[in-house]
Amino acid sequence: MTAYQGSPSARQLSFWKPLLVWQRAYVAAILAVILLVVNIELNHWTFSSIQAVGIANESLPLALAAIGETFVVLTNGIDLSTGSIVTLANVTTAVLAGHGLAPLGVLVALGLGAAAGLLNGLIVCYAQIAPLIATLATGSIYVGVALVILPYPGGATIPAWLTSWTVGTISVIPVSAIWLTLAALAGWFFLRRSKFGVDLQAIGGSEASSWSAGIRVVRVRILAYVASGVCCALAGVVLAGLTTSGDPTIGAVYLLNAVAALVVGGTSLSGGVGTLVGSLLGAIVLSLVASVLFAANFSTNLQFIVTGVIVIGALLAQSAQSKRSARTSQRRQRSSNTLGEQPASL
Amino acid sequence: MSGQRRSYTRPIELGIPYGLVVLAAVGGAIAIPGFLSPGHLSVMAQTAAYIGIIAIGQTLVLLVGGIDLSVPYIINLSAVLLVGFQASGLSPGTDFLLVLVVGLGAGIVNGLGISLLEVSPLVMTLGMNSILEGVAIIYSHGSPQGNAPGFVTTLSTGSAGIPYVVVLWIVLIAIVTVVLVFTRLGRNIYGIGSNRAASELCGLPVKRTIIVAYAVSGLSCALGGVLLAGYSGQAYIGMGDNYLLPSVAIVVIGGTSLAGGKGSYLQTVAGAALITVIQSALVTINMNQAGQDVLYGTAILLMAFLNQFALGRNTERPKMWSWGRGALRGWLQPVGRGPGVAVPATEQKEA
Repeated sequence: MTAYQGSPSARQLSFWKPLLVWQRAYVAAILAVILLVVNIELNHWTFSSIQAVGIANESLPLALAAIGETFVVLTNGIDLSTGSIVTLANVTTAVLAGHGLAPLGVLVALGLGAAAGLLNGLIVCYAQIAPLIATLATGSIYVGVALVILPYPGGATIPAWLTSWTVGTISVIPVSAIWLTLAALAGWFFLRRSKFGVDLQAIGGSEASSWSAGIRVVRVRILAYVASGVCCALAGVVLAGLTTSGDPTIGAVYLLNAVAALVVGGTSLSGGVGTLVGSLLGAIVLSLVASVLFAANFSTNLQFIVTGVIVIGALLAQSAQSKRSARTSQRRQRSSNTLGEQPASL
Repeated sequence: MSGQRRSYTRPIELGIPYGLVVLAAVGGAIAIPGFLSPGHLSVMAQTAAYIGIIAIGQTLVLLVGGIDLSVPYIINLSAVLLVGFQASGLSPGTDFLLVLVVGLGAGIVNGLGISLLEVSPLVMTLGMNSILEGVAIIYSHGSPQGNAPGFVTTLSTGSAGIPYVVVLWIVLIAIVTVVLVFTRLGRNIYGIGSNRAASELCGLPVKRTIIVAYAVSGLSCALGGVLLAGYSGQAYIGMGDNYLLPSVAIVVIGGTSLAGGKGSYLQTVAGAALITVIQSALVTINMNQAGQDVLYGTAILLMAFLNQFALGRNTERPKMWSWGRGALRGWLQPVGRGPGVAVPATEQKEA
């Protein structure tokens, strides 16, 4: 950031710009690396050891839910039906797999996730109910539907291919780690290289300006909720593979944890600023916390406290950072205006 | 206490939720024999009292434009501490007061983080919830032992014609309403909720008021936790989980705006009554959990929609009562701003 004080030349900008875009994800990245190193030290892990696979497996559904939540938060909304859609997809996959229709189950689960997201988006955009309340209410409805599909937790016959495709290993590499990498790449592409992603961030920044600039605000916002629904449905499908069963209460923890992962990942809750990769790293951090505490012979119950402290701390770091960058950009704008240049924008 | 006092709540804002309560009660009475018998009425009042007391704080917090998601584990920790302190030999009175102080403390910490450190309320209270969950589990080793003090059980379940807890609720309704309408604190809460920047410029104690709102939320949740522990006679981990969504939902169903500055505790009381009557009717006709969840969600959506449009809250849209050409079309216009719509002051600043 120091490079930015004063008036930067265009060359400086073009070098630092791509790195600065990720600045908010750095907190999560550093935390993840620290926790990983501590974990390796304490547990004497090798890459293929069972705990490492466990961490990757545990992070995958949470990362998917957090990525979905990020789409919505970037538009300055919030999706509280995340956990319910995870549950809905999980029980749908399990029940249809129980009838020997696992591929259909996965498709139907993803379809239901998209439909649920579409309903959220339509209610938020057309009925103009605050996203918090709208998704709170639809979340209750989706859990109700999930309870109709599968009233009690039950083991289903999840086919082996689904399990090996979600939580298996290819030689020494856990499949879930591959999925996490793919999700990170896809997230980068969607947000930085697709029109949808750019529009998404623009709407979160200023809805009125985006509208004036010709962005189809309503369509993009609805798509954000649909994307959230599909990601959560994917998380539900992965959970079906992971637990080899369906459980109508499985999603409850994913709501608050997804928001927590997103905050640790540096996404601003007031919209417009954030990265999907950050949310993914945030999910990994949250999954690592419990493992580190266990390895260090602390009570795993401490994880709730540590998680809470990390979430609040991450947000404090974030607000300090945004205050500082606001000051810097003001200064930059002042100095560039006196020079008659265009203000540089990130 | 000048002579001229403008009420913050219009009659229609109270009329709609209370009208719906009467409607639901009459509907229940027609469908289910004995629905409005004194016995069942007092059971319903008791059920509404617990959630109503818990939602006192949520109402104030939503009025200042925040949200408190630490409700479940303030409730749970209070219940756990209540039985824990009792088991470790503290006198019931000290025990009770100490638990309330802990709840108040958690609320104050929330308020400090939100107002002084400017952490988003959503995350601050979410993080606090996680921290308190850890404290509750570690303190009780996962399975709280012991029982609630006798006088708490009496307060929570006893009755002298009217259940004691309902009497307590009525007293609290009176206090909260008087504070909101007739005191400087109340006016500050409405002022800050409707326009925080203007309140700051007017010299209102914005930060202090926000802290007070969250502190009251901590206190009311602690009281709710104590009453719930008294009701079941013991405490268990997870007992507060079912109170987070209802605590927000009944405030919104009553018509208090999530954006802050509009609403009142009397509306929350109506929301609590409405949800209790509907749920009680559903349980009586043996509707299963799935159906209840679906109807619960639908009720929240419908009430939010009704409050949004019927009360003309939404200044960008035609009012429901102004039936004219294009009234319906105006409703169904999507949220993206059309031409000729004024840009709100907050966004003008950014642009």
